[in-house]
Amino acid sequence: MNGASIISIMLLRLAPGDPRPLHEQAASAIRRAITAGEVAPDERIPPARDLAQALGINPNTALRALRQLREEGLLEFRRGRGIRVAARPEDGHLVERARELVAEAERLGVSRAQLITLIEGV
Amino acid sequence: MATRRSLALVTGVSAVTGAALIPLVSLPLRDRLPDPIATHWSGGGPPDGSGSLTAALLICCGMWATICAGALVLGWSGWGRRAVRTRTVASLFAGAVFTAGVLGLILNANLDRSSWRDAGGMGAGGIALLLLASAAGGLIGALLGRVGADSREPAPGAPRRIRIGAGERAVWIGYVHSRSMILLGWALTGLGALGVLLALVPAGPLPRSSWSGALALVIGGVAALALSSARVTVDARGLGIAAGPLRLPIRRIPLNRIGTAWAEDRSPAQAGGWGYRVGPAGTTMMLRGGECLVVENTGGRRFAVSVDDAERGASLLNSLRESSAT
Repeated sequence: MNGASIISIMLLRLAPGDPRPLHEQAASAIRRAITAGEVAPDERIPPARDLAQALGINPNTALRALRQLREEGLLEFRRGRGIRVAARPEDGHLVERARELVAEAERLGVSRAQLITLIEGV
Repeated sequence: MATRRSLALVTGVSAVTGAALIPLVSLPLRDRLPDPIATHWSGGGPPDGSGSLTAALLICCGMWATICAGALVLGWSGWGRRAVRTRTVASLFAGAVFTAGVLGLILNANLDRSSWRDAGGMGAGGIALLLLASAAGGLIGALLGRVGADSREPAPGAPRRIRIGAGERAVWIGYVHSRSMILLGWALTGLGALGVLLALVPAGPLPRSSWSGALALVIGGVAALALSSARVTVDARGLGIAAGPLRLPIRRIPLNRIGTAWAEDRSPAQAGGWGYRVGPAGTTMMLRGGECLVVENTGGRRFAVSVDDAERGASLLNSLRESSAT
């Protein structure tokens, strides 16, 4: 095979009922691709420009989604070598579950501090 | 493949028959030919070069073998396709008439002369007749090549699909790079740029006039770089190909024009070489041998692009097309 190839398929939910901002939706689409093992650890993710064009969103929105995933430890930005997956599918799954937990807590009116105390007590 | 076997048979039998006929026809005339014979003419005048009869016959055989080999290469990409067959048989026939004509003209000029210097001239009339006869031979070959069915490998029966949930928007992005093309592109560009510089330097090592040739190298290098990588996108709009580091959009096939899509392995030999190849079997953007995403449009024409993970791209394309049709 000639050169490095990066492949990813992304399913972005654009249900009218989804209240989340676009960058969150984009982030969760990429997270799902990692969770499903569609992009393996150390594989490259398409650059923000390509993602934005493919998903029909602003490049800044795509970049914001990628930065969020970097903060979650799922992606790694390497100068000159693109954006790579830094986590296993299970890690992506865990982040996904954590986000669900936080959302659930918010819905129930449980504060972050309370939630952290709750987790530490487990 | 059976079709290729028949192509190999046609070109092989032609080559052997020609190689046998050339001495069979010429050698009986040996007693009426000078030794050496005239083999070279410049302009329309008397001969200015000579050689032995054996050498002349060997050169004719070599010419014929090259033409047969050329036909084999020409037909290799799709002997089953009528357009390919027409072209291949036409070139084979035109080549046969041309070879026979060249041999005939040489023998005719030398026949019953005592020395090669007395041989007849090679007039424009004879050359024109030779070309005309070759064209006529090509026409007959083209008509013969058209005989038979226009067949090609059918598209795979059951197109693969990917499930898309309601309200979901699915996108596939595939990339392909050709490292050799990138190297070639940079090498040509660098060499050309150096050439332009050296040509423009006063009293430099290169003559000033060579700058245009060097510039052509740069242009070739940039073209190679532009085709050295590609991004293939499948989304609700259809299939999109963008080439080179600048991601120039070079091809877009809208979803409603796509019939079916699949993945198949193709080699540069099948596509007709590297790069953007337009052939009778369809257009191929070939950056490296191996997995290709093939799309057949509603008109039956095919477009292929070499890209990794083509299977998923094709599946998504099929699913998107079906969901947009309902």
